[in-house]
Amino acid sequence: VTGGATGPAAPRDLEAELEDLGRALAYPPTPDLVPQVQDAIEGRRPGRWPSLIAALVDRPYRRSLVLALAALLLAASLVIGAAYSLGGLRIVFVDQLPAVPTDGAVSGSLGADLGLGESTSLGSAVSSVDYQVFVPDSKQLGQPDAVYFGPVLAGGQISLVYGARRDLPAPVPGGVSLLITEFPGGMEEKLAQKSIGPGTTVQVLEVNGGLGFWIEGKPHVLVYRDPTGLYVYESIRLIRNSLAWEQGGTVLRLEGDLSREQALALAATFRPYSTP
Amino acid sequence: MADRVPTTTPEAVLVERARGGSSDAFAALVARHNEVAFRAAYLVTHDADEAADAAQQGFIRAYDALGRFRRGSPFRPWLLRIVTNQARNLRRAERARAQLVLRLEPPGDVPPPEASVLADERRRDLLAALERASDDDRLVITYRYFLELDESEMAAALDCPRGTVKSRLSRALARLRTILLEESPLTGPHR
Repeated sequence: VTGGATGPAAPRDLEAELEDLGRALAYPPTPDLVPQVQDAIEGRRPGRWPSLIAALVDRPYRRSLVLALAALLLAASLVIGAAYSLGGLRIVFVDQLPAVPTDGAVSGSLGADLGLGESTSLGSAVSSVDYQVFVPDSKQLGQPDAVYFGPVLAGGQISLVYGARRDLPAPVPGGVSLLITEFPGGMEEKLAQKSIGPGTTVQVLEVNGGLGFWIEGKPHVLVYRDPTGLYVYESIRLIRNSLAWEQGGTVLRLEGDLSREQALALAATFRPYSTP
Repeated sequence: MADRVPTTTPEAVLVERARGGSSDAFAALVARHNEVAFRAAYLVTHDADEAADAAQQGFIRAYDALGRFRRGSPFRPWLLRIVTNQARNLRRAERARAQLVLRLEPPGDVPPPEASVLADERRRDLLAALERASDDDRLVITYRYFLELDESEMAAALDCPRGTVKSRLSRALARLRTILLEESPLTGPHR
């Protein structure tokens, strides 16, 4: 376009001219907005649960659910906090989980649509993290069908995906029978919030010597403090029962159509991963 | 301060930390997107002060809305959507807008004088036609050709499916061609 030598009747490429125009525009100098923005947000936390609830709960039910939430929060804080010194545990009603991103997944691998990160090998995933990784007894389950490393959470998240097995419950749509996720963090002091859906029960347990939760029923979101001290919320992926516990500075979570007894029996077989 | 966060920190990590309340992490995000946010606002307001206000308020609104940000999604188009809305709100308060201006040709890239004049004329025609386009058409064209968003980023910025981006862009270009023909019928049709 800059040549402009085409005659008046020659067709012009509008898209090319727009690109050229974009390059030719004169913008004023960009002001540095960092100090003003940082001043404005200092000491504030981004909105989270109120907007999440608002987004997930239908308007006609919102008021009653919020009231129920307030009552439940109070009861849960008193009961669970008193019994287990977990003042940070809170329970929130949600109708459905936030959408799980699937960017970066490798199509074709089992669990590729679960937003677990990059498909990799177990050894490679373990070498990418600084925390202790635990694996279930391979004699019982064999090797996982797929392993993912997700770099988004501080310290990285490793996921082991198992398809159908004789000793596992029937797979969910998509073929996954068991999903194990692990990330660094602690639950006893650092777990901040847990949100569960109506009809869901939470039991606080001791699992392999650490604090654990058995969550049975509908969707929930695990909120914990990562190694940098920040709150992070982690969605379950299979919309099934789950067992989450802390073991040696690692938070582990099992998801699948497991009963509590099956999940606890499986958790008991977890051992630190060692290079074969 | 933003300089406490390494420049190599992945954006998704910064977003996650900002969601947790780290103003340092969010400041690093502001530093990364400062220019594109300001330019996006300027393309709407045509005024540097208003654009700075819109971008600043957009960043603050984005911070407040981080709880609604979908994890794993690209941050830039989501931010641009907020900033653009903010700029549109500000612009409504001030109807009279200055014209966008073209920069001088950079030294060493100067075409022959006659061609240069003709090219500048065409750019001015195009700019004038763009000003006559609807806000929605101008926005989709701006995102694609001035801010150089790709299709998936545009979908996120416009909050619509990717397939809709193509049709919206195609219709916007068709309408722009019509405006150009009305404005300067002797300069030839656009492909």
